[in-house]
Amino acid sequence: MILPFIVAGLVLGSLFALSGVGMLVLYRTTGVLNFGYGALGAASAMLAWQLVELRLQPVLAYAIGILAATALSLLFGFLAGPFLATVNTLTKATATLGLALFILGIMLFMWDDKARTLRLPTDTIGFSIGTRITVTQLICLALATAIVIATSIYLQRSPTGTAMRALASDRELASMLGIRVRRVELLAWAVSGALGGISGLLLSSQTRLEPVFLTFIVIPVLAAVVVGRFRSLVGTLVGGLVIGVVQAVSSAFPSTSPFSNATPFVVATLVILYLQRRKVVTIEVAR
Amino acid sequence: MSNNGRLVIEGIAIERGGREVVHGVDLVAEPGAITALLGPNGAGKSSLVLALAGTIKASRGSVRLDGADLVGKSPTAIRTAGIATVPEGHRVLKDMTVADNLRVASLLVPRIERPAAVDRVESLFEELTPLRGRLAGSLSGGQQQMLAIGQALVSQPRYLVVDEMSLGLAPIIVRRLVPALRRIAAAGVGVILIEQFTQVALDLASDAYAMAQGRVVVHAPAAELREAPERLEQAYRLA
Amino acid sequence: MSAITAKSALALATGILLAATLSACVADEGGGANAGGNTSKDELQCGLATGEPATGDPIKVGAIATASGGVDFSSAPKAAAAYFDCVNENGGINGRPIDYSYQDDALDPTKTAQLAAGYAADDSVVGLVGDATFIGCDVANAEYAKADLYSITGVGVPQACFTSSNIAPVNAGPRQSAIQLLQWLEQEGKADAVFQVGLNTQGNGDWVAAGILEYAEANGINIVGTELTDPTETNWLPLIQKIKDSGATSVIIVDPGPITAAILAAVEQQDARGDIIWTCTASCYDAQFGSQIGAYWEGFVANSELQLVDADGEDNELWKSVMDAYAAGDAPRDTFSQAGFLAAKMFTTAVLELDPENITRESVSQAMLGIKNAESDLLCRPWYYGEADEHNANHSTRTAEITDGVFTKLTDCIDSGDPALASILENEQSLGLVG
Ligand SMILES: Nc1ncnc2c1ncn2[C@@H]1O[C@H](COP(=O)(O)OP(=O)(O)OP(=O)(O)O)[C@@H](O)[C@H]1O
Ligand SMILES: [Mg+2]
Repeated sequence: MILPFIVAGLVLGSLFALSGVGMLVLYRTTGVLNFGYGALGAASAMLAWQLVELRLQPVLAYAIGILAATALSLLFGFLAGPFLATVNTLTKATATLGLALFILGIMLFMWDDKARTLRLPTDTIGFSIGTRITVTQLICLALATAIVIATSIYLQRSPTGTAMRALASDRELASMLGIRVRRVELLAWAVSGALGGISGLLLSSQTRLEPVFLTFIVIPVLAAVVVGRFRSLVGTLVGGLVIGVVQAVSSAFPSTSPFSNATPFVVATLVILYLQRRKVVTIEVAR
Repeated sequence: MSNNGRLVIEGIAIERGGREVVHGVDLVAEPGAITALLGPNGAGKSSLVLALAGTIKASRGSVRLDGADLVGKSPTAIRTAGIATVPEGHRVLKDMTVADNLRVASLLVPRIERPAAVDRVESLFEELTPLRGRLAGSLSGGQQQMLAIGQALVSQPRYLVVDEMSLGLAPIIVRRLVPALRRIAAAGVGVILIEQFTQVALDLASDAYAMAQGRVVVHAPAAELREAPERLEQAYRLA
Repeated sequence: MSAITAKSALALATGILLAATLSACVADEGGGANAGGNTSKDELQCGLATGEPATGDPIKVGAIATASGGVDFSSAPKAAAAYFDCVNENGGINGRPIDYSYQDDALDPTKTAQLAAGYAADDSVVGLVGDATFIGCDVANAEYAKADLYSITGVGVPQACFTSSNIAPVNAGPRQSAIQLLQWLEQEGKADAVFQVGLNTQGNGDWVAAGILEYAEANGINIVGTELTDPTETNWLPLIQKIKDSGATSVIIVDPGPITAAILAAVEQQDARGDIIWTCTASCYDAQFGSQIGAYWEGFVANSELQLVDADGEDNELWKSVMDAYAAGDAPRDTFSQAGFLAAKMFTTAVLELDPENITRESVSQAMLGIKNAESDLLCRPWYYGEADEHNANHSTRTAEITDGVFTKLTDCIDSGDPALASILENEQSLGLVG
């Protein structure tokens, strides 16, 4: 019975893709590859959980969680942005490790290591098509796909989205053309923070609500971004789905299951090798 | 103090890589006229252009338009004040379409005026219209230069600064760009034209400056220099 | 977008974060609300119970706990500290206060070894009490043994914590916890086909899994599957599939609480609970667990290595009241906390027997080793230390089940049938450590 694995893989993969799109928007606009992305999502989920425990209206709690991730991301962009603009891509990425550790430290300080789950009312509603699918899973899949599409359209059509693409294409020229670089960058930090918050909530409901675990989920997300060659939203979506499905399906067979957790690395490495073959690579060049 | 809408550059000095490369340049550009800026390689022309655009900061001096000093202002503020720059190398947003390139440039214009602003540019460079959907990186050098000048014009600047307009372009393209620049100036825009083809620049310009080693070494009506081009060579050699 | 300036964005972001932090802090205060004690601070019977603060020369006592690095066991030394504070307010050790503090090994065995060596080298430290460690019992024990330093550990998890000469845990450990679940299943007639799930960790998950298999073999129980997963696993579908395919009638989960919760969520998602009895070891016996796994898991069974936190009984009551009076409001009131408290209490009782003028590491070590027949309603059977190369005095535990989202008592004490306990049981008898 392979169907349940495909479904679970699609759901998880779509969430990797959703996170990946958030990372990509930020990377393309500001040149910052945010390794703190998982931690942002974790913070959003933990905070939402805490507020639900406090008997806050769940929808409100989720909204506050997402807002907090947005605010954290924006704040980091505000404080570190001027410095990040002056350093190379590798230093930028390294600086975000600081963000990851900072958020993780606060989370470990605020919350102990007890079991937690983010339970949605839709978890209990489900139907069977050879395998059981819950409404939550459908929502994850639909929301992730919708947001990826909406982000594409936003970048393509909206003035600020166009400005973001202009920054990604040629920063200096874009600024000479009158783009308010700092403002657009902050907007990218905010948008990516919000996407991180949303995917953090959904990921925690589909995997584990644990700060450390969610912080490290940045790894498969990064792999999805690699598949998108650090530039393509569609490529990132496909990358996330492929990683999710391969990981789940390979876990179904005894001969491949010990290696299923290595899927993000394998997929990312294959893509890099393939691109090297065609001599179109490296982060620096892609920018 | 209005200066009659002139762009007045006074005593601009620029440091690059820890070294002063422009040492106090004075230059005045008139609205509706083309001012040529000539000079050998490394004279500091591009540095002056980038400082005018706000991309690099002048270490002293002032740039005044209607009395406001623009030194130290952000590129966006300078653009809003009415100075648009076309950097050298027919630079465009390569992985965006021609239409998007123009759209980006139009973001400074109030939303409702944007389509009209883009249309105006397309009527000046009609060749761009069928290329709307193409990626700017796939255009020829001449098409890219038209697009770059077009981008500068979208926001209806009062001054247009074009660095190395014809560098690397075929003569036929240059012949196409020359009348376009004339039309732009005729419409009241002040143009500062940096050119390696002295002849082209002097034919177009009414006033001409020449820089060498970071200083203005010649300032004369373009007509005078057209008559006596050797004056330029002498000035470069002396500097 | 033109309405956003960088400054206003900063102000907005900071405002949201402040509000969010505040709301979470408020939650922390409310979140720790557990069954409190009923004894007021000045009526607590700690140590000599004189009501007079001890003012003499302090006696230095330490502990090593894993408090960060993804695991937080600090509730054990926190409870020990609370009890010692209470003792110090009540005459101390015949007038001398206990100067107690613990250090965090951050889940890093190298750090554990360093801290252990530090305590071993500091002669003023007379003993260790209420340690709680997820790692490093072996390296720590090597240091202690050289320096004649002993620990009444609150909580030990890996095998090494139970096979050490100078470390004796108050808790029973995951192996006893798991085997006793199996014994409970056996009693209930539900042990026809048992599937066990655990962690693929050396000296811990493998040791527990082997315990289940050994007990099963000795008692003719059919273990239909053993699945040890990586601690970072997230995909539980293969596991659920295997459990289904195995025809298991019951499942024993020996994972940390958060992983168990994730497994249960996946089972619920697949609606695969079926008629199978699902159980887990003491790691998920926690006040919040029931509400986290939700109504689907009504009747879920867990083992508890000490008395249930909401039970009556003299020591349990004292523990709760001491925590109310001397510990932070948000300090967890869990099994680990009970264990730290009990370690401190037994240590106090033993050291009170000594001449207050002659409290040295040597005399204290002798007093600790001499603890035997220590009864408490927190335990099932008396606790003891005794000179030995292995210590697992607590090998009898209770079972609880979730009713209306909280754990309630299911069975009273079950004595462990772990075949590996043979030498420990023999020692108990021959040395007269119990009974
Ligand atoms: N990015 C830079 N860092 C340091 N020095 C620079 C930089 N760019 C240019 N320079 C130096 O500044 C001086 C002026 O250069 P600039 O490009 O302004 O001259 P130019 O007149 O435009 O010459 P060209 O005709 O070659 O374009 C030169 O000495 C050059 O080496
Ligand atoms: Mg130049």
